[in-house]
Amino acid sequence: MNEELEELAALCAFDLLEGGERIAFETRLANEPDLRARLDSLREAAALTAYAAPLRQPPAALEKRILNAIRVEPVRIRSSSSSSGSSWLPWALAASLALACVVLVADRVQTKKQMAALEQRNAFAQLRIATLASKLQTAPNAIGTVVWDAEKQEGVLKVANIPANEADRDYQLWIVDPDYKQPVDAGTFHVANDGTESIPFKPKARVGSADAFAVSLERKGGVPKAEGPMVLVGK
Amino acid sequence: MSEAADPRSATTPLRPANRRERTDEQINQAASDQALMRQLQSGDESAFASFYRRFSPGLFSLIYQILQDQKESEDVLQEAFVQMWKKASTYDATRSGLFTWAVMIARNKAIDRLRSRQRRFRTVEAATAEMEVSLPNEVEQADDLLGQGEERARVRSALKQLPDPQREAIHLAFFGGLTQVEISDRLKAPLGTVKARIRRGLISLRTVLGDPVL
Repeated sequence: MNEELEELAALCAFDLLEGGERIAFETRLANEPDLRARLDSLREAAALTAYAAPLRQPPAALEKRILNAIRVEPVRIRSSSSSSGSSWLPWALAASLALACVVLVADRVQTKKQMAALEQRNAFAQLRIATLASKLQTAPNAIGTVVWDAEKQEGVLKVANIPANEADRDYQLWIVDPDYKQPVDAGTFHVANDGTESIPFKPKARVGSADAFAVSLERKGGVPKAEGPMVLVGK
Repeated sequence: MSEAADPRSATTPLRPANRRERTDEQINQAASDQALMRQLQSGDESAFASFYRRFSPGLFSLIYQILQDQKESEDVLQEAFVQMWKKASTYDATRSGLFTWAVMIARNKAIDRLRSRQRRFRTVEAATAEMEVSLPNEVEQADDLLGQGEERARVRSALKQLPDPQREAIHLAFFGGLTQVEISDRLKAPLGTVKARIRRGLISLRTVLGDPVL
């Protein structure tokens, strides 16, 4: 692993990555198991730093208070057969892929007109399809698909199961292109209560190589560099 | 004093420094962690009580180190444990140990609170000053009181072996709730230098402390 990548992993272990740097790194994480393993290992070491804090006992009464608090909180039960990460992970991946397929099929109908325009220009060979997976713990089934026409520098993003955004926030699409230090802004969009949206987009700068796509939640109108939480990532 | 005060384990004996000798113990620890987490994931309140007793002293120490306020630290400890209870099903043993999972949730909660009250610089300065002064005595105190402060002492020893600039950068990165730029400003060092210190310091820590067992 090169020094630059290891530095990003170390900063990520302390949650110090922000904006485009974070988007680019998390995009790589989603597709590079070795990098994910390295980050996990560094995060274990970072967590041990907690031992540097001088030892301090919580008051005894706090235990009862906290035990009372959890009794009124719903807990999501995981069945014993799915308690091992290694056993449920393949099923989760399969489910995600199935969802992606469903969305793609649905997209085919809903974006037919948009696709038809591209096909008519014999641009199909230039098209790239990417599936974006959820980064939200609160909406793990959120998903997106991107159809990107490199020649025309335009595309269509379809999202599903994504939380409706508040009035003062917008979702913002980013394209990761290695020619740019920061991901390229591809515009903002709003999602209504049903969690689905189909958005034609054009990036703000010419994209030579669309290595990955990401969606973040930003302040209304969008930002020049991503600042908010990541929502979807994929390539 | 309860022997549960060590955040990693209430029952774990002293850990030998030798990495090979630690392996069986770490494997047992990981198995114990997973068994405990399975109980939590099934909604077992008595397992949660065990989980609380095992991790609360270490997590409270961490939260207090960040916030430097007793009342706020108690509130944040409660928020953290409630989140762990609600989100137990999201724990992935293939990604991290139980200790790391709990530490990161508690730390994030504390840092969120720190940022919300806009007093971070004063607090960080106070925390850093306390750390510099109290480190050796605290190790002795933990050993004396608990008789099993080996892991804590081992980590502190590893931190002490780091060059001062790396240790300062690691400390601010973990406890400070600061951005990269803010750490750079505080240390009066270029951003690139700060990033390199964090990378080198963390990799050194990982090397000295060994591979975790997941």
